[in-house]
Amino acid sequence: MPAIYEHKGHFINETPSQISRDAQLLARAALKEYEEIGPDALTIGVDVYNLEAEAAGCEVTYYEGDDTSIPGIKPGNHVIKLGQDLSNHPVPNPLKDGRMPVNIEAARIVRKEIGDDYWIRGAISGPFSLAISLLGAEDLFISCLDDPEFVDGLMAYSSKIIKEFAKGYIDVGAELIIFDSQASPELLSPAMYEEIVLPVMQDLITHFKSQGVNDVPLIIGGNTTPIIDTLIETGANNLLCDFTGDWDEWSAATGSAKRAIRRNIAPRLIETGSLDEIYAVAKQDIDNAKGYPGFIMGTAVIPYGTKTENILAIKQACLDAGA
Amino acid sequence: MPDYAQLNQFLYEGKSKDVQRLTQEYIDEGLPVDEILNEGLIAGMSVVGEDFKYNILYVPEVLIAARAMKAGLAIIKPLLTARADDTSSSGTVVMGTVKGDLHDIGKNLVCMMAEGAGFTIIDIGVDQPYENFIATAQEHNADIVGMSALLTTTMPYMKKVVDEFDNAGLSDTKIAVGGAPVSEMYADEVGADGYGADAPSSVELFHKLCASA
Repeated sequence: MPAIYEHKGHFINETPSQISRDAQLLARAALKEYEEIGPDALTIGVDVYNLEAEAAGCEVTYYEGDDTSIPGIKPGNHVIKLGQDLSNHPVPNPLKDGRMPVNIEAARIVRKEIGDDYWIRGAISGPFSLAISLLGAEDLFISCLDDPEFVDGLMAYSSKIIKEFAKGYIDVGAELIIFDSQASPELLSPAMYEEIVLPVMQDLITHFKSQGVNDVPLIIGGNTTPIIDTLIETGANNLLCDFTGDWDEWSAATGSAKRAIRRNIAPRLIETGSLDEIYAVAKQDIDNAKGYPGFIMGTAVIPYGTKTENILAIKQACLDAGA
Repeated sequence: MPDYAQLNQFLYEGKSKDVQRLTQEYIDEGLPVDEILNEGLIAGMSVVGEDFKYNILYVPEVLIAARAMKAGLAIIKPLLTARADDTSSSGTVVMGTVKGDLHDIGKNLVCMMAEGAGFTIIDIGVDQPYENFIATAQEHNADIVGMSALLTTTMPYMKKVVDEFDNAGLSDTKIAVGGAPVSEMYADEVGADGYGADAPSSVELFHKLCASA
């Protein structure tokens, strides 16, 4: 299951900025990914951390011409102010605001083309990452200590936005995938994750299940080994052990909790390694996971322009192992 | 008798007002400004850096400590720069995130920790082309240029910056790189002078690079 977001554009010779703003192009790129790679799931999304924040008013920087940089929110282009009361703050409409309609329409097109018996996942931000996009990283991190009540309000507001966006995807027949890498223990302490993020994430996943979405991958990049138990408590049935995570600790903890784990291969290897090197690392990861019932071979985010055969080398390792 | 351990502790706990108050008290008592800076503020920040490196502290705690450090520095800096023989700076570092990359959490942490260790930091921001790195390094006669990238797609630009420094005849300027996808091996590959795995390691690297210059 490769993580292909900005690289989608490469399949149809378009840039990330171009496909991220056009539902037809995004759908065409996703369908080409399906045709060329044949992954077990497709994710609809390019700059996956920006959609909700942009719909709420943050300005996203796009790149024109043949510049393949990934759209992003520049520091300072945030819409929420420190201490702001957000209890009645307007929540974006997923059918009207920002590029939410672009992604939802792309998901609808892809679902229609591929049919119902396949995972098509709409990318949504996790609440902490969205809170960073809305407020700015430093202000949020400092507020976690200075003004926890405000942070709770901001997390609740983020959660409302995410639920609305998710509803848009669910209504067109897509499943979901949550990205919350800015809540990584490389930035936020395990104790703070438990106190600030966990309750909101539990509520979101319970909500999605009540909407009929039972498979909800939760993606937090980096080494999340210190928060495995808390991630299990979120209720997500599908978790990420990134290439820097400790597989042995992960598989021991998540196996008893009956969670699927996606194990990622490092992006730089996939981008620059030889086919033999890539295959060997994938095979090693698969061998390490022998006997683990919910193992998913994955990749970190595939860099734009990566050769298709490099991605297929990983798939071949899975097929040779009997997947 | 100054209680620098108390000042260290206030800084560690991010108590800006207490750091400000105690720094001012020590100045009013006539204690040497260099001593307050080194033993009170920089020493306190170096404990923060160590504890951050070993996951005892995390980003929020580091940020409030850096804020407290700034409160102390705001009192001390004007006194230092007013002196003709000011040698308090450990070196000048130009910091930026490379072109095409808008991420700045890591870069900002390095800036704060390096400033807390006595370096003069010129932060040129995110999405920076090589021309800005070169122009700023020349303008400030920088000892070190620090580059950050979070994306595998933007980190190759680091090589472009290194090459352009060489082309501009500035190969004496030390270049340090860092960011989630970057590694020691990658730093060697692009011809950088060093790699900082995290903010505290970057500060150690800056000290090393300045000493070797």
